Amino acid sequence: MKNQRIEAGLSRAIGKITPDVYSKVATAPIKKMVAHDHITAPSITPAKTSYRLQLATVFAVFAVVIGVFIGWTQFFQTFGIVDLDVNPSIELSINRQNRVISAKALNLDGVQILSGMNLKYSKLENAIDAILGSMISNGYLTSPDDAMLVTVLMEEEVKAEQLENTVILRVNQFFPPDSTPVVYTQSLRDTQEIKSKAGEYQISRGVMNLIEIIQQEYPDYTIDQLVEMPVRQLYELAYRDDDEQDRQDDLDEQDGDGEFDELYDDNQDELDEDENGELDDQEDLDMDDDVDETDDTSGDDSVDGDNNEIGDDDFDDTSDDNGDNNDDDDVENNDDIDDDD
Amino acid sequence: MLLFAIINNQPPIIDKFQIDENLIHRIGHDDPIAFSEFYRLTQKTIFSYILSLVLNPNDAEDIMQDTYLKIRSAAHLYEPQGKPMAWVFTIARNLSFMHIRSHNNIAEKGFEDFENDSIFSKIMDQEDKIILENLLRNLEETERSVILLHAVSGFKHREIAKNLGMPLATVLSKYHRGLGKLRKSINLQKGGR
Repeated sequence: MKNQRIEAGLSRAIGKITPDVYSKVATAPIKKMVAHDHITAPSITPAKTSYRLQLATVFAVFAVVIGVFIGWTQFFQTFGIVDLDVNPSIELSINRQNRVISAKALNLDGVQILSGMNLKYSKLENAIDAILGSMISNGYLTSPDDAMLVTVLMEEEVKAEQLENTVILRVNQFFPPDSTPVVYTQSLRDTQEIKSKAGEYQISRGVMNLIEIIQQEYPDYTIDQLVEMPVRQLYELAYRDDDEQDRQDDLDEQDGDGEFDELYDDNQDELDEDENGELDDQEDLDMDDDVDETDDTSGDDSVDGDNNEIGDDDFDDTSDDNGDNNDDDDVENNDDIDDDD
Repeated sequence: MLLFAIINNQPPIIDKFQIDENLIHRIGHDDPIAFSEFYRLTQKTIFSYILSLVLNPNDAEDIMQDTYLKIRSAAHLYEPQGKPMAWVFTIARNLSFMHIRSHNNIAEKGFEDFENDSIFSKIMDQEDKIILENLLRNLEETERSVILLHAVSGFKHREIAKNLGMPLATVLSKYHRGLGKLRKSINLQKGGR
């Protein structure tokens, strides 16, 4: 017997025996319940899924969570900070892929630079190009005498150095060779202390670092004074001793007595004019009488102006001692002839 | 037609089984039309379900009454969950189990009087009677419930699973196994006669 037939028979049978209690239940007085009791309380439990499916679901959710977390740390988490200080001060937060997560102006001039710009998720190189372009449009970095401070704040030193080089390279690529501004760089570890201090004075962490270095050496400078200084002056103040030490080291490698230093300073211009950088005092060479420089095209000093070899007495004019304009040797020959008479 | 039916104390006949939560909500506000619509839609379904549990049609009738009265009493407390019939089956099941417990689990005993029960005698078609008898006699509780609901209410297996709070796989399994047992027992009974 087919299922359909069975079910049809059941439906008919139930239809026959189902009582009609409508009249009893429709109008019977009832008491409205205040709350569900153990009979009416909904107690539908969800259907159980198989253990394997549950386990697979757990693993899948876990994998998704891990994936999202990794993606988030790779893309959205700040891996380093790049501060650009000219007079406008700009801070770029970047992720592991050197993409900009956020760009922040640290002073009013910086606000003007970033105005209308959306650098989010752009490559660092492109962001730098955009910022440099904006700076030039606003009158900054228009001279090779202008300076820019690049500060990289990152935990990993190797990566920080790579980032410094990336920024420097990009700046050099941006400007024509004869108008590239001076770029000062420094790497720092980002600390809450420097962040707070910098925030207090509304300056970048890079500038704050320079100020702290200067104050250690020159405590008479106040922060308010230093904050107003241009970047170039700050950097030179902060690292001046280092530059002088480097210079002394160079000198010590030469002779150490200072004479070279004087020579270096006095003759530097003259020396710079010479392409080879070697001394070339032609006047000294001209004092050599044995050589007529105008005919000595070969540079060989062995012939005189008549193309005679030097040292050949037969042609030595200086042998005419008696003044008859004849070679004395010839006179000696004549004497021999006279003897024959 | 609806007005005529109400005047004659006969609820209208509505073929399509469509219970939405708005109906329960209206019953909670003592809407008589809503209750009459609800009754006609669910009458056979609720009776067959209760019968599958208690096996005695007389007891099933009493429990069916209690179920509808309970629905009227608690409809205003129902919170929409997208499964109004699941709530109705919960009430019917709880009342049925209370009845079985109070009668010392003698549901099976009630079935022994199938041949002599006046209610079952209303089934005129012999084959239909055999089918119902074999279902009630030879199948286990869940198999009975699933097959009856599928046959009487037109619920799909997925809907039965949702309304009874059972996995779909279980419903399908019980359905096919139950039908197999039913076919076998029917054939045996027919062959024995």
